Amino acid sequence: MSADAASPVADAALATEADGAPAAVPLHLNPYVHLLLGALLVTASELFLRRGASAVPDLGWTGLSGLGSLWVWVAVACYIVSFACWLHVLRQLPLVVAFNLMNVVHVLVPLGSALFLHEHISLLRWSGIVLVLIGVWTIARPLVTLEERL
Amino acid sequence: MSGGSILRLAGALVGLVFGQLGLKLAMEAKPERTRRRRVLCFAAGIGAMTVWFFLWMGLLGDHELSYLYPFEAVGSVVLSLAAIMILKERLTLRLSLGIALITAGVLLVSLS
Repeated sequence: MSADAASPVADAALATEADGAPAAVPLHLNPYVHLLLGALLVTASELFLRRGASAVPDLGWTGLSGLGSLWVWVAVACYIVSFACWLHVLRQLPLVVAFNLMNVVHVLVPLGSALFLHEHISLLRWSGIVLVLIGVWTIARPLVTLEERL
Repeated sequence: MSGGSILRLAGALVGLVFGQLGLKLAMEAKPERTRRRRVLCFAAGIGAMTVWFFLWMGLLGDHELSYLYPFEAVGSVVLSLAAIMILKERLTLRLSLGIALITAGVLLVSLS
């Protein structure tokens, strides 16, 4: 039993291979492309949200007053598009696989905050980021191999 | 991190996990799941994600993004367990190893 066999897309891929007529999934329908696009949009959204939150003097407990910042609205727009990507992913991949692959944002966000918000990343934080990356790769590797076979 | 922030963080994680479970239940086309039930799951998912969004925005006002964000990965472990128990998804050895590595990475980041 493997993670790839748990995926409906993977099951379909194995089925088509067994039939001897492999059918490639179009790029715009590929759930992994949507997953990557979603991760990039979530990263952008978090960066905009942080900028918006910094621009508002007192956010309070609920953060509702943050809606007065344009950056927050840009972040919301990014979230909405990433949400559409995520719904497409959920339709095709098991939640346990998709959500853990989405953890690549835990690498992209600190990198983005260092690059664009000039936040400091310590050696310990870098070590954590590397571990998260290895974890994401451990989960993703059999899925990527399967896609390549298609 | 103050007690209030920890409470908000816990609330945000609960919102995230319930939201994702609701959305997954809504998006899966299964014969035993009626359209009305899927719409209800979708609405509940959106509601829970809305709670998560506003609690998260409030937390972002008080903490550095690169410090705060990895805490959300704790949700991965809870969500994985929920997906296995509620959605009956399969947990493999490789997946368990990946989740363990991600959690260890998150712990390191949160200690920094």
